[in-house]
Amino acid sequence: MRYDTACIITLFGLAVTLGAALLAVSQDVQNTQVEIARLERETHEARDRVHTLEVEWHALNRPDRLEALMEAHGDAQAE
Amino acid sequence: MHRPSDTLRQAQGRTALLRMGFALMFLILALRAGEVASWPPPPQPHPYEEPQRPRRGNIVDARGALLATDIAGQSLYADPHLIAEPDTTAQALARIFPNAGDMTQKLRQDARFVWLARHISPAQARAVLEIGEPGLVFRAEPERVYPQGPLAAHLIGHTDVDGRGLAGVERAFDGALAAGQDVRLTIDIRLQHALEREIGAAMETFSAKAGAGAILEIATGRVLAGASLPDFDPARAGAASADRRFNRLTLGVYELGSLFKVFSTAAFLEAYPKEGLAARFDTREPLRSGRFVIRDYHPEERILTTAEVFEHSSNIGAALMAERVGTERLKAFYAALGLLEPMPAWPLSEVGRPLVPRPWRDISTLTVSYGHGIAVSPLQLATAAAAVLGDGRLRAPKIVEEIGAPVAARQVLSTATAQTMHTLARLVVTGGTAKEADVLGYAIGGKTGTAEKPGATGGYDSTRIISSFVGVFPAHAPRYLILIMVDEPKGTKASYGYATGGWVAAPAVARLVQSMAHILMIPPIGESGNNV
Repeated sequence: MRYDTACIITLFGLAVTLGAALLAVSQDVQNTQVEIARLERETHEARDRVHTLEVEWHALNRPDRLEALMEAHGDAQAE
Repeated sequence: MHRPSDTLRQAQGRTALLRMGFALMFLILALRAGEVASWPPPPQPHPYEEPQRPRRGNIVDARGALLATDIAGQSLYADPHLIAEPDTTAQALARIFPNAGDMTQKLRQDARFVWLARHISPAQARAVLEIGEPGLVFRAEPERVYPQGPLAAHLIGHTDVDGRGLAGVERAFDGALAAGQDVRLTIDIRLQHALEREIGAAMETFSAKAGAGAILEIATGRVLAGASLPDFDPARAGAASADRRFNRLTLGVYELGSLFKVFSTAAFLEAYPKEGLAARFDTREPLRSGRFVIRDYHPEERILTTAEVFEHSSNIGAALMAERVGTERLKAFYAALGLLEPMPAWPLSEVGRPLVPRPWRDISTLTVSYGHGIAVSPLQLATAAAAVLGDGRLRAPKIVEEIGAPVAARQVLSTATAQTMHTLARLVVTGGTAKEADVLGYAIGGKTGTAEKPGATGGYDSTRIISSFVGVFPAHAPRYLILIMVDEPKGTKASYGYATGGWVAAPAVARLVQSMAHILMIPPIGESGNNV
C-alpha cells in the first residue's frame, strides 16, 4: 500500500512537472512565432519605406529639377 | 488456492490505478483551464501579405538612376456578399473615389470579388477604413512609378494597370522585368535631359509641332540619349494623346532632305576615290530630268567642287554626283547603310518601315541623293551617319547595356572616305550652312537639312518643313554623333523669317555640345586634335 502511494505521488509530480514544462515551451513557441511575424512584417515595411525613399531621392535628383534649382540659387552658391 | 486477502489487494490496486488516472485527467483539465484563464492567446498581428504579383524589375540608366520601379501600393476590392447596405456604402465610396464609376452596381453584383479602385493613395485607404465596412478589402499590389517623369518616356515605355509592358523597354523586356530582373539602359539621364531641353527650346522658339533627336557613342553604337517630343508621363500613359505617345525617334519616318547628302557624297567618294574632291559639278542651271526640275535652295550658280556641293548643300550638285554613281551602286550603298529596310537589330518593337521609291526609277536616284522621296526614322539616319561620319563601320544602335558583349561592326565604306567626310562635315560648320553649330574647342562637323513635307494634295508643301542637323564631334576623330530634327518650325524675327536646319537645329546642337562637354568632362581641343 505504501509502495503504491509513493508511486502515485511520484507519477503525479512527474506529470505536473512535465505539464508545466510543456506549457512553458508552448507559450515560448507561440510568443516566438508572434515575434517572427512581427519582425517579418516590420522588415518588409522598412524595406518598402527605404525603397520609397530611394524613389523619392531619384525623383528629387531629376536633372530638370536640379537645373531649375541651380538657376534659382546658383548665385548664392557662388558667394 | 485463492486467498481472500489476495483478491482484496488486487481490487485495491486497481482502484488506486483508476484514481490516479482520474486525478491525472482532472489535473490536465485544471492546467488547461488555468492556461486559458491566465494566458489569453496573444493578439495575432496582421501578417505580412505577399503582393499579388512579384515585384517587377527596375529599369535604370547607364549610371544607375531609377527610370522605372515598383513601389508598395494598395488596391481596394469588395466582397459584395459581406456588404449589408450597398447603397450607403456606395455613397461613401463615391465621395472617396469620385471618378470610379457606378459603385452601387459593383456592390450589388452576385460575386465574391469586385475591384473597386486600383493603386489607391494612403489617404484614400484611411478614408475607406473609416467607413468600417468589413466587405471592403485591401490587397497589397505593387505600383509602377517613373521617378524621372516624362524623361525618355518613348524609350522606357509604360505598363498597364496589372504591370504588363505595353511599349518601349517595358514591353520588349517584359519577360525579364516580370521575373524581377533589372534592365540597365545605355542612356544617361543627364544627356537625355540636355537633349530634350534643347529640342524643346528650339520647338518653342520656332513654334514647332514636334521634334526628335539622339546622341550616339560612335565606337559602340550605344544610344546615350534618344528623344521624341512632345512626350508624356509614363505613369499616366493612358491619359496622354496618341500624338504625344507617338515615337518620332524610331517609329516615325520622315524625309530628312539634305542630311542624305552625307550618304550620296560618301557614295560618290567611294565610287571615284581618285577623282574624289577634285570633281567639278556645274550648278549654274537647274537640272532637268523628264518633268522634274531640281533646283538649289541658295543657288551658287557656278561650277562647284565636291566639297563646295556639300558645304553649300547644292541639290543640283548632289544629283549630278548620284547620276555618276548610278542607280545600282547608290541603292546598294543605301542598303548597306540600312536605310532601305526597318532597323533589324533594334530591340524595341516601335520600328518604322522606311518609305523608298517604288518603283525606283533613275529620277529617284537623283532625288534620294538630297533626301527627297525617301523617308527613314531619325535613329536609322543617325546610325547610318555615325558610320559615314565616324570610322566607316556600321553598328546597330544599342539601348540596353550588355556587359562584355562584343560590338558587332560592319565596314560599309573605306576609312579614307570616312576621314574625307569628317573634313567636309567640318567645312559645313566653319564656312557653310551650319555656322551656328560651331562651339570653340569642340570641332563639330555636320550637315544641315531643310525638307519640305509632303503636301496634303500630293507634291510638297513649302510652308511645312522639317529642319534638322546631324553632326559629330570632335570632327577629326569623332566620338559622338548628334541628330536633332524639328518638325514644322516657323521663322522668327531673330532668324529673319528663316526656319532652316542651319537656323533651327544647328544652334540647338551647339548648345547641346556645350552641355555634353560639361557633363562628360570633355576637355576642349584645337582644330587638328592637339590640346589647346
